[in-house]
Amino acid sequence: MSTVKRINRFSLIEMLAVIGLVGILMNMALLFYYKSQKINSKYTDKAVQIKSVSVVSKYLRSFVHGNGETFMVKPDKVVFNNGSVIAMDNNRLVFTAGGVDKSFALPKGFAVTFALENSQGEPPRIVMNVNMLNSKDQLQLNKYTRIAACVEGGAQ
Amino acid sequence: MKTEKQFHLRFYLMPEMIFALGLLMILTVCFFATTNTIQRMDKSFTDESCGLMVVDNTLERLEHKKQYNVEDVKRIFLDEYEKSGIKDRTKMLAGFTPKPDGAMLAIVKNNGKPLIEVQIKCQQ
Repeated sequence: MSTVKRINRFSLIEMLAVIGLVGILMNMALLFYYKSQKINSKYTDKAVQIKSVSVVSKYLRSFVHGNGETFMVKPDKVVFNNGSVIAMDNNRLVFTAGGVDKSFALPKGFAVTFALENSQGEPPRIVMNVNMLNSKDQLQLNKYTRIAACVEGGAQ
Repeated sequence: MKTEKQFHLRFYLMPEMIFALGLLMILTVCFFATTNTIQRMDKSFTDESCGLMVVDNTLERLEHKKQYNVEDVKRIFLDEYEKSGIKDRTKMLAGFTPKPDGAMLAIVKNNGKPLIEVQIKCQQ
């Protein structure tokens, strides 16, 4: 009685096909994971941005109304005649009045710029644009939310 | 006594292969469809947030004017709409309707439904 052992032998083509398929599947899994993480992080930040805008707009307006006329408005800083300051500091929006700081953390991927606008027959207003940043941390000038706050006591 | 061990090759049938590939494709399509939906949803929320800010900024500017009439309301509202940038990146429109005792401001979504409507009492 003979003992016969038959062993499955895969051809080189089959082995390469299996390796290739496993590679493709692993890459797809990695891609799905990476994309999901990226989307999740991006939209969490955007949701925070929408929420931040609603919170910051109220605070900005009451701060601007309460501090009177502005002395200087730069893209990253607003200084009022009474010494109060609104400034960006490492992705935090800092409101300083009477030596007391209050700061709002902005979501990652967003930045704030300020501008002073004047229109005929209206008081001057401080405009804060909450801009999105691109992957190189540059402002995306077409993607922003605009918040206007009128300066109390400004000439009409 | 069985001394012979037989190893059988296991083949997959064509229907099994087709089913597995079909399942993989469905999962892939579902993944990208969900991603796409989330992106559209997010864009819609962002646009709506900007649309609301247009009306909010208009009201802020009107609140600080000593007097205003329908023409002032229209000018300020359209100015805010222009400067908000939503005109370029969305299909939302600004609607202004004069009323007997004031004006109606509206931001209209691309499906024709208003996102927000505000009635303001003012002089003609």
